Amino acid sequence: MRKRSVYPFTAIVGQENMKEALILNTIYPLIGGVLIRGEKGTAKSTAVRALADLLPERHIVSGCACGCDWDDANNLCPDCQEKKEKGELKETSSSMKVVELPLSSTEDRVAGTLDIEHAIKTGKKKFEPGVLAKANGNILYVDEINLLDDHIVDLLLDAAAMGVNYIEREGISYSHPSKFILVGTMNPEEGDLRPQLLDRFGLLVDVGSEHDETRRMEIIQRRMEFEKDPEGFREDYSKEQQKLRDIIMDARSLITEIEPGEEVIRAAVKIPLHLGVDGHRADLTLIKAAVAYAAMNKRTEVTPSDVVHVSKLVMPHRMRRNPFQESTLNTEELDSWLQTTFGTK
Amino acid sequence: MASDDVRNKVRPNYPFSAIVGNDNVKKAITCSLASPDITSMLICGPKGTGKSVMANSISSIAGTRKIVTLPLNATEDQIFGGMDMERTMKDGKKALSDSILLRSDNNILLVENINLLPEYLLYQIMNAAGTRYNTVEREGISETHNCELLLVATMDPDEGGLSEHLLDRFDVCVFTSNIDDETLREEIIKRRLAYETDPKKFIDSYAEEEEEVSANINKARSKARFTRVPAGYCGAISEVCNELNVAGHRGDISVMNAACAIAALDDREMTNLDDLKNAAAICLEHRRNDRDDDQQQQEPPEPPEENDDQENEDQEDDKENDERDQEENPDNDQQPPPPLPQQDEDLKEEVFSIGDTFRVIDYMPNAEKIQDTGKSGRHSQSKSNDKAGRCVGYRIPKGKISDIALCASIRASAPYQILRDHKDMAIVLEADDLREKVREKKQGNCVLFLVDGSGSIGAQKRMVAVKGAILSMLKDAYQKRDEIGMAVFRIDKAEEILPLTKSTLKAYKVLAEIPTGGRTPLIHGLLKGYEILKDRITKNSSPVMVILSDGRCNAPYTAGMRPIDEMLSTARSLSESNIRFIVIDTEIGTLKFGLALELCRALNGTYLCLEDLNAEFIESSVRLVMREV
Repeated sequence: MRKRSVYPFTAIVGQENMKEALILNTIYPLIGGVLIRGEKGTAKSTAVRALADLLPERHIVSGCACGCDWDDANNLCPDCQEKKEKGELKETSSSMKVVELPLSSTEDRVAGTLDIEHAIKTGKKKFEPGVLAKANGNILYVDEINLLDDHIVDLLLDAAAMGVNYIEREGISYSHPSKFILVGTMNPEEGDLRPQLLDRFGLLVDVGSEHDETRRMEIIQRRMEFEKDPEGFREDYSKEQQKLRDIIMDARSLITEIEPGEEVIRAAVKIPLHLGVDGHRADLTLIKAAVAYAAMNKRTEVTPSDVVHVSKLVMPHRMRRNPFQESTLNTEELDSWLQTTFGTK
Repeated sequence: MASDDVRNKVRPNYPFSAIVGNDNVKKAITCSLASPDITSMLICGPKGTGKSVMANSISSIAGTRKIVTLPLNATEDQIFGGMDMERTMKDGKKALSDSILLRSDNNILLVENINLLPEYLLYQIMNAAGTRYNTVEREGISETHNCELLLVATMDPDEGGLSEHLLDRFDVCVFTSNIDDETLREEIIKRRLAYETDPKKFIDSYAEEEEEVSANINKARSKARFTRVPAGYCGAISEVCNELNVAGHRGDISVMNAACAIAALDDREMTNLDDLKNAAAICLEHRRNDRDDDQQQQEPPEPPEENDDQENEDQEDDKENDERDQEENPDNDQQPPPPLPQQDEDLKEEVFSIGDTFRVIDYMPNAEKIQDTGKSGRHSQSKSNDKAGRCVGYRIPKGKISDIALCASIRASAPYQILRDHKDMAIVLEADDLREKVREKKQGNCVLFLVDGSGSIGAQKRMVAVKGAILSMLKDAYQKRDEIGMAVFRIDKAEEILPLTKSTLKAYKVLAEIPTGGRTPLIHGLLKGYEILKDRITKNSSPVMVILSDGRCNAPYTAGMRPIDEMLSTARSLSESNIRFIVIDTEIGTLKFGLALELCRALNGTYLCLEDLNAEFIESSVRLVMREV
């Protein structure tokens, strides 16, 4: 397949929330992904695909189909485990990827199944990895995720729950790590996402079209330039891209140094409680996103105001208590409450 | 298979002892592990409340028992067992393959999101768990093996429930709850962060406690069967079960087993009342049937002799509060006032709030009009022919094969490989070996709610109850992934207020805004409904029209015709279409015209009164009748 030129991330005009959410996830994958909600033609897919260019290198086990993490020796697939015991494990590095899950995917391809070719040739069973294996350690991108078949969604939920994909198909019994950053886009007019899946996304951003005339023109001009001469256009942005890459790399190394203090934890507990959100995922995500946000701003200390800042990305989709309640955040109410509680804005 | 050992390495689970709160779930877990006679437990709860974490934490306190996970992608042969391809090829003799149930023998079977698993698989799994053996009759294999397991399942009821029958099969069922206490929540977050930062260190710091719990369970497990129950207690258990209207005897038996296990965990040889109380709380909640339709009390059951308070009262209170929050409308009268003035043309427009919701009965008629489906019936999975959907099995192909099940074909050919001419291949397939896939697609119905918005429905706030009923049906439709639409007829026309959609959120908004007042142009409504649904009539699916009205059509469509006559003749001609009709009669009062029933007969549809929809109401009235007899 011919390698296509990717539109530079830094050349995307506006959509700051979306860009921020994607970068925060790249800095701290444990945030748990982003759902980008908005009308068509608002650079949703462009942004996700553009992210590929900024992704950091990761240390992986050489030749592993599941992309096992070299630094996480307790979390290897059975094949690597075996190699490790024999001392044959080799290290390599590769940049994080954006793995796409097309809507038409079948169950066996998503979860993985028996390698038929191998079976016919040798008469032996062998596991053929699927998309969930490829996605391990990477970004799993599902365009129009609300249109994904129910039973495929179930598989995603299953794997996302424990970060492990269990396969019990066609005589194959296997399990491998499957920790991925789930990035989805959807156009809400075409149907909802199941609340359970919604809750799996760390962050949510709503994107709309740009209404400012000059910015709209800017968007079109840049796009036309890119289409005329993709490589030249990328060249023009290479400096900015590198700058952003550096920010991400620096932030990633800062993360380990940041320790959320009492105040931060209290803030992260208070906000979801105030909003009446189910479960504890919101609390955790608030902290992680706040830490990533602090790191992005080159700080080694995270403060309650960071929590407040990221709450607009973490909370909106968790507002819903059943399928019939709207998942919007009453920002005015929240703002005034935050003001009185934390004295921040 | 070796991967079981690997699994525990793959996943350093969050330790059981580090779980904060949710004492009822913890109790249920230790009790189920300690009882050799409890074979299944279910953890229910909203998302993100730690169901999965708690279920998985079992691995560190289960002693020698291992956790076998049943993922949602599991194929049938892999769960129950089938033919082992490799061995069969080698020996030319059919051999039983390794299966999940085989591996679960003497172990723990973990199924997450069990409500998303196809029901027919569930029945077989529950059966194996209950009977403690599994019989394989597949692919020419006929074998029975022991299957002593503890099934641990989780589910989020928001995603669709289990049938009562399946629910009853679970010995133990507990509900996780949201923790609203700030300090507890902070503690949860702190522990979780510590675990994520350095799992090994965190797990090590709880190792001692885990060891203690595990040892205690082990000891209790050997003693539980020898624990004695004082003579009077059996009667008390039966009494409680009776009082809670628990059907069948599984409840009684579970309580007894659980009580013994709890006593054994406490190192006692005799069960006491507290044990019974605790056992009842985890064994009967999902089986009780004593609720009034609107007043769902959530207090855990108590044995009759007891009257002191329960430890988990706080959280039950919260549940109740939540429920109260959802009941937006307090003035929904159960006892309707005297009859309405007939032909009331109240032109005053009003928007009523949405009434109480309830669990709806399975009101949709079987899709008899649908041709060519494997299983008929609503929302059930229909067999799809377009290579889409979940593959649920395979069959010997009829006619030309298009969707080949390669793995099954290979297995079918395995016994003959010794005899075949191989060239360079290990497996040679012949035409007779070929199998094709059977796929199942969860096919929701396409349901149009045709709502009477006339003044007569507005009278006595009947609309409040109607809206409540619609919302209840919408909830049901959501769980079944139906496509829904809504149309209203009032004054002099019918309007499509919600085009067919899967977005239940939109439906809710639209429903809240339906105005009431004016005449009843039912014919306009019927025709509008037909217009909306006619494109959805296909060979494989027949859409559903749910008409909520009292049938008192009083707006003419054609000038000069009597509205009622015209309504009935329109209905008769619509009955020929491939639409399934359900008429929900909203008429109340002593003076009834019964026009909705006539309409329904003309449509050849299913007739229900509004109150009949409420599953709990029906259950309680059936019980009432039964008691009188």
